[in-house]
Amino acid sequence: MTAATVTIKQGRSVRRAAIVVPWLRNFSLLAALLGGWQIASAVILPRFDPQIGVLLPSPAGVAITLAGLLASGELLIHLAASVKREAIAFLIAALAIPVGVAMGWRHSIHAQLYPVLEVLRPIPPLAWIPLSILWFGLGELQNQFIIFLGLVFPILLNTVEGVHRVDRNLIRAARSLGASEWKVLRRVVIPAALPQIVVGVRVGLGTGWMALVAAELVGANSGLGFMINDARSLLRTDIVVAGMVAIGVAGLAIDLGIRALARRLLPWSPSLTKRD
Amino acid sequence: MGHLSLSAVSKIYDDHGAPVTALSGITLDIADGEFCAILGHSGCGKTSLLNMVAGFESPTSGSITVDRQAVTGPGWERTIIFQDYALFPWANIRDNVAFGLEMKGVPPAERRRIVDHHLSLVGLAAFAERYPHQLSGGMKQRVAIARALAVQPRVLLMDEPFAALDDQTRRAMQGELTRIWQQEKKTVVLVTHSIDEAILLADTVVVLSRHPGRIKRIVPIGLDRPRDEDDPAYAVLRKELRALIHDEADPI
Repeated sequence: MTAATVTIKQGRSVRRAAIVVPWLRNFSLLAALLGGWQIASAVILPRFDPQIGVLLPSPAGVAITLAGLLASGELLIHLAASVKREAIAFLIAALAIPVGVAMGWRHSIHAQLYPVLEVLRPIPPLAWIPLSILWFGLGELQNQFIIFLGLVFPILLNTVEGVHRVDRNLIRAARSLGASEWKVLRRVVIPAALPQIVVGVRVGLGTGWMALVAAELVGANSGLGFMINDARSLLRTDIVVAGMVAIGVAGLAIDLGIRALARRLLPWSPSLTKRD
Repeated sequence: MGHLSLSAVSKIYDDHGAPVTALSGITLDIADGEFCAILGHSGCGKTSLLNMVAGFESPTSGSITVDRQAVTGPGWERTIIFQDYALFPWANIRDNVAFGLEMKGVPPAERRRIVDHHLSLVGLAAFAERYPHQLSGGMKQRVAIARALAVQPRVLLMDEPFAALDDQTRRAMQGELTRIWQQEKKTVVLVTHSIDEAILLADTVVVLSRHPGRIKRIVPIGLDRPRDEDDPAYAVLRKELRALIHDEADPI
């Protein structure tokens, strides 16, 4: 190795450090909070009452439990059950995309559907839980119904908005180039609305995930929501917190996955490619 | 082929129940291969006029024909170029230019040949695989010109096509348009508020008055191309058009 390559390598590692060090600095508050939590749960709380410690498991204890749940496969089974529910509900809720395109394109359809939506939309998905239990009983279908309600409105309303916001000159340019109405819809309006539809899917999967956990708390015998509720009855707060962490991480992973996919598939969209 | 004829065209808009006459009694003949500029202040109805020729709007009365066929809606015989380019951002340059040909049902091999020809015509042969957001404003407008010409329209419509460009790029594009037009010999209707743009480009300049929009005068531009701003005849035309337009300006 010559002296020159050594300098280059050193230069690279210096530059890498220049990127990594400030990036790590962003996590200093998080590290301090975790440290404080560890001290509070392992040292301070047990001094007052050895029993109260169970209400706030230490981060180290949670990490060990999480590792154990991962190793035994139990966490993955529940995670898979939850993700499957969300996926099935999403496939049904995706029907909101063609409905939203029709609403955005045809004023007469919008005029009929909009009042119905405006009445239904403010009802939180969780408010449907009692009625849905009576309709579907406890189980998969009821769970999926609640998730569907969390998913469908953001997807529908963003699709309508996306179609409304298509640049009029794009449509006019296509018409003057000889495109029929159907071709304009398929070749111009839908691609142009796609970034906004993706926003709807992202928001919908987020609210759907929240509704999913709530639905599983009430009526399910699998899934992350079920897991933490089941652990509560056994006073296994370490499992409860480990489950909460898993729910958060999985929700974040779904969101990041959608964003990465959108950036790959729609590289032309400035709203998707800019980092936020 | 590309004889555009407007006969007693008027357009009345409904402004919350009150009728507003945007254009009145427009009768105009634009010969095949003629470059016609429609010149007027904003609010003279020049864009409405272009929209009616494009078929996006219909006249309240009167008729518009291209080669004796009545205009009833938008179609490839009358393609349009906008100020904001209106390129499809998800499609590369080749696919943008090919769009109209695809709509026309031109087979792929033929399509490719026509697209290549028009990309060379506008000097963008090397950029076929790029996307619109990777191009400058002037290049985007070249793509729009190639896309509009590729379907072999009878009339090319341009709505303030260079208004969004910086001065230098605008001048370069005006030169390019003159070169392309001389090569393709299309009938062109260009809407502009710029006196210089009208004199630089057009065979005839139609000056519109305001409230309502009527034809004030049709001024033929007999200068040789490419046109020279320092030509004394150019200065005479500019003075004449400025006087016509000045009458129409709002009192300040």
